Amino acid sequence: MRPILALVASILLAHAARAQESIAVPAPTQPGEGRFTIGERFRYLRFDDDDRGTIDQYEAITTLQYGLPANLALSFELPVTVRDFEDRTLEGISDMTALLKWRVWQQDTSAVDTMRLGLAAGARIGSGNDAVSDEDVDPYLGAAFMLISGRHGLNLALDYTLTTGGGHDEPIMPGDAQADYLHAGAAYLFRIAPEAYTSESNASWYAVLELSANYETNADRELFIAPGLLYEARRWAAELSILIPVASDVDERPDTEIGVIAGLRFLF
Amino acid sequence: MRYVIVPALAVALLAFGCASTSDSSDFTPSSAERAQEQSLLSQTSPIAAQAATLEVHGLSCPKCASNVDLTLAEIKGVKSVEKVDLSTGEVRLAFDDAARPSPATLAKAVKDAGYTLVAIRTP
Repeated sequence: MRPILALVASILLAHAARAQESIAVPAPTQPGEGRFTIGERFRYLRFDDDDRGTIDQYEAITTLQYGLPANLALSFELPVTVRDFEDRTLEGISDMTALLKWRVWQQDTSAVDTMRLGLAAGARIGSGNDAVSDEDVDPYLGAAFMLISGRHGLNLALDYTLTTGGGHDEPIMPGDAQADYLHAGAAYLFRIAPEAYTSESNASWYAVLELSANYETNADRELFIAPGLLYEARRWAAELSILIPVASDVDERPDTEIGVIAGLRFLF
Repeated sequence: MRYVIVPALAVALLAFGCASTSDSSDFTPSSAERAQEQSLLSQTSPIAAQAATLEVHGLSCPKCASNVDLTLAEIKGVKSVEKVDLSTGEVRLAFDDAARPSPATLAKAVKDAGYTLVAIRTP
């Protein structure tokens, strides 16, 4: 009961989710000192496996962040996962992620334009649920860069997860197998509307194009493209993107056929 | 390795190639904004006027505007945040008569919110 109460309290206390964040590529954004942010993202992935057939995965991913002094922030990601195999269904909390984020550099050069560079260190923490996770604590290191210039936004991110244990019983996602995992992401955001901000501007539409590359030390690798849309009002934002595999060479886990990500961020 | 490099380069080229159509002012990184912020952070006397307009840099989206206005609204002595103008980065504040904040307090609040305060204008 206490975890539920803590989550509810966090939601009620949550402050502005920071934007202009891309949908799935990490960004060097974080709440100010003493502030909470919360994001709720829903992800559907369909996999194709030679032995097990089609696997549908549904996830609800809650991300909480809390701002600390000196450009630091804590971030915690809690994914609840349902894996629907042709002959069974597995569910539970999959690998959680706890990070300390540090905005190491920032340059705000006009009302809109900014550049930021952030580092993140932490761990991917197994929930102990053997069905969709494990009991390992895997160290994580990452860096992210953001450039906003007028209507254009660019995010670049690189992160590495060091696998310390035996991996998941049934590897499905990158990082599930007994191998280290390198992820590189790039996202371009174009503000569709308004063309130029006015004194009355209260919302924006963005077209988003993301590229994500996964490489594991067991030689599994894949590349995705994800076009999407992002709408931001002053108190809330909504996002939707489609994950399309461009290239895939994986042996330890199934191929990803397609994915859909939908997210909502609220400002309390 | 091409799985890593190719997407990063492709998006970087796309973004920088389009940047010439930006609706913003000149994008020339410098330390000028930081110096202006430091100057404001050193001014600890309360603002004399009953209202002020802040010039804030780095408000890249509507949610950023909400983030900064909620932060400023919690400062002691700020009666209301009357307007955040994304086109100019201007934030209009009204102050309480009794206890007005200092430029340093406002600059720190904007900095803690993740943005840069470069000027304060009073009527």
